[in-house]
Amino acid sequence: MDTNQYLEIFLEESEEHIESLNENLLQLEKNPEDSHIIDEIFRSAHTLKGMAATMGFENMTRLTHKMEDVLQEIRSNSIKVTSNLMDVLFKCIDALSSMTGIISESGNDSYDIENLIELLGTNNTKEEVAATNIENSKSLDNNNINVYEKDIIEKAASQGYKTYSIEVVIDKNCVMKSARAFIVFNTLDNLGDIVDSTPSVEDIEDEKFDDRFTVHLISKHEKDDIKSKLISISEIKNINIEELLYSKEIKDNKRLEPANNLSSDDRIKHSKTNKSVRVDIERLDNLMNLVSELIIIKTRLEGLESNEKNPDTISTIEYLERITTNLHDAVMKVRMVPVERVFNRFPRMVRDLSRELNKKITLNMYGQDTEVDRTVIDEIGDPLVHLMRNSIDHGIETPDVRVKKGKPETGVINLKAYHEGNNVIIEVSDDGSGINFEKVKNKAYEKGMLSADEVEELSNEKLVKLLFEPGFSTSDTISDISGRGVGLDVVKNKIESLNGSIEVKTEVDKGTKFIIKLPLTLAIIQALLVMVGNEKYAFPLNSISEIVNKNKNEIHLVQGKEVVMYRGKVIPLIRLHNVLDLKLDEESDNFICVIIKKGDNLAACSVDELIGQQEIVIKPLGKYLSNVKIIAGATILGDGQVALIIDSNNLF
Amino acid sequence: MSMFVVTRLGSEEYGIEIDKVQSIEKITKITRVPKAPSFVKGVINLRGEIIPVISLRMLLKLSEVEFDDDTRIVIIKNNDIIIGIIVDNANEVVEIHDDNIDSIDVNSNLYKKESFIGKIGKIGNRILMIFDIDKLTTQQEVKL
Repeated sequence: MDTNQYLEIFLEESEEHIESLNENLLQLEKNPEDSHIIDEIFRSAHTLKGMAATMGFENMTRLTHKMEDVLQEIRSNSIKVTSNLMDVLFKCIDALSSMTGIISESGNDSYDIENLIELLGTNNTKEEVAATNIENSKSLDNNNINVYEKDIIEKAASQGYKTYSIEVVIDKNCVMKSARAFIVFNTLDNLGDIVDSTPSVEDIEDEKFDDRFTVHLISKHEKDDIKSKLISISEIKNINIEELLYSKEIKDNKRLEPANNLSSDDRIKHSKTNKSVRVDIERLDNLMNLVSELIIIKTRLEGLESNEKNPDTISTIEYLERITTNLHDAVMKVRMVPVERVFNRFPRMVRDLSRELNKKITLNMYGQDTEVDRTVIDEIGDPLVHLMRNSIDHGIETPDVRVKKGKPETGVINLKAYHEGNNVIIEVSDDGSGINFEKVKNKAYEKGMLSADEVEELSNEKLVKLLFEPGFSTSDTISDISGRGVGLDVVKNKIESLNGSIEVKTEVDKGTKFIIKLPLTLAIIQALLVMVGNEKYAFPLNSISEIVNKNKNEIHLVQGKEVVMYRGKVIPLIRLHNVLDLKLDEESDNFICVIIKKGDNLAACSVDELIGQQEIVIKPLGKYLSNVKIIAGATILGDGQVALIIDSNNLF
Repeated sequence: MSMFVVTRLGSEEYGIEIDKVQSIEKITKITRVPKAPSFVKGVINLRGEIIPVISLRMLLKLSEVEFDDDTRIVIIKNNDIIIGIIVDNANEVVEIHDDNIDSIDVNSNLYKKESFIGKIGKIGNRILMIFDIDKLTTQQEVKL
């Protein structure tokens, strides 16, 4: 079979399953008794195995198969979930993820899995549960009944059927256990309906069980009746039948609920989110481009409108405007993805790093469903990883230090996302040691960034800014996690290149908070169009703080540089004519200043004329002109003309 | 056999591999881009896409001429870089047998090292200088 055409789908789905495995394993670590989670993990592993086998990826099939075996043992309560076992499972997932990477690059899954297979196979990672436990595991068995089956049982009970949990013990000397089991199943089928079995029917058929299995049967027959029919089968050693009562089910169910982090509602919601149509990103971009074109044409039509007095034309154009606005919103929504896509890598990261560093850390995430444009999502992953690593490594102290400081042993990292106007805010905060300003001062001096006197005079705010300078890291030791001095300046640059900003709030021994502000989308922005000379330029509206009129007399010189006063502050004056290589014919006495902001810094830009505010579609200048820093891109105006967008971050 | 779009600058003829040529456009309004190298005339709006255009005359250090009805912008696409080059005219496509295409001798002082010419094609007694498209579309990065 030619499987190439399915490769892409395979890779996408594998990634999804690996992601869900990761997520569920983390859940399982918190609730090791929750059979729903185990079921979910099992299902993902099973699907992966099936897909890999179909595609002919043997290593992947073998590994998932082995994982399935181990999961099966967890499911049947013959081994316990220990953190060592979790480590191995996580390693397997990493291996699977590497494999998909290798597959997408080379088309084969050559990856050394022997080590993992061995780890999965060895017993020292597992903790065997004493055999007697099986006898007592009645209530746990009940938990193995999933929602769907529970529903059937409830319905059956209301119609006078009884539900039995039947444990069949087969003689140890039996040669063909699966054949015996088959007979048991056949017999039971005649007596009623089998709801499920532990281990699964497939595993029983493959003889993947010890000497006993449990089935749930719905039947009108009496207990003893069933028992006598079963015991007559040869080589059956023992039969334990217990009636499951409807009310007991409910009780068990309730007892289970609070232990779950996910309520069943959430779980249903979760499974629904997977029901989606896969659309190639290119098609989506194409659609977006078409809508952009439509907006341009619409703006052009509006320009023509003033010449036409026909009320029909006017109302038609108004209608068109409404539709294009809605269409634009709809397309934007399609491109929106929840920040969850970036966030969901963090629980795993925190777990691994905290184990590595011997710290105790709880990660709380809020607002994972906050939606951001795809263009933004793709870019914020790395900066966030940096900040998280910073918090884990520099922020949170080791447990003994924390105790000494009178803080709880376990540190807390909060990751929050929410909308604010046309922006999305992402906060990374920890309750760690905060930024040590003395350390920052010493470091700045050591690195020769500032002299000793200069350092002493610096305010805390200025010191925080130092952290974002290239090559600055306060960690005493260089660790794997962070502290290679390539941290915060990279983060800052990245965020500013996205038209966003980053802020830090810190308090000694209380913690540090990084606040990132990002635009919702990078494709369409509100902009102020201005004239400079006879050329049109656009300023992104979110970089403008105010527009003021200034007189020539208000320009002062500070160290040869022109400055103006703005709200009691001295800010630099940027003559756009000069920056844009335009000739200024004659200087008028009054001029318009656009006050632009970059973080906390302000600057005044002189322009000749204001045209107005407009929604513009940002188009890149292309790779060929990527060296032109002061231009962020271009946009096409209603009349088909091109206006360049000024990148105010690179103006000063 | 290879096909080339023949473009002219004065009396000189330059060839561009036809599969790199996306389209040939008449001259339209060019928006100047500040801080770009001088041979970059600016950007144009080509059916909704922003394309940088460069003056081939300036790039090759030839004297500039006024644009007229024959002036064309040849849109070239090489991998993910799209640029337009302004030429005096472009109205011919020729087919040249591979035997008649010579690679240039880089050591000869006839061709400067930074020249954009990759090969020379011969059609009868005409000589066609064939652009090295990779060089032509990445000049920026090399220079800066």
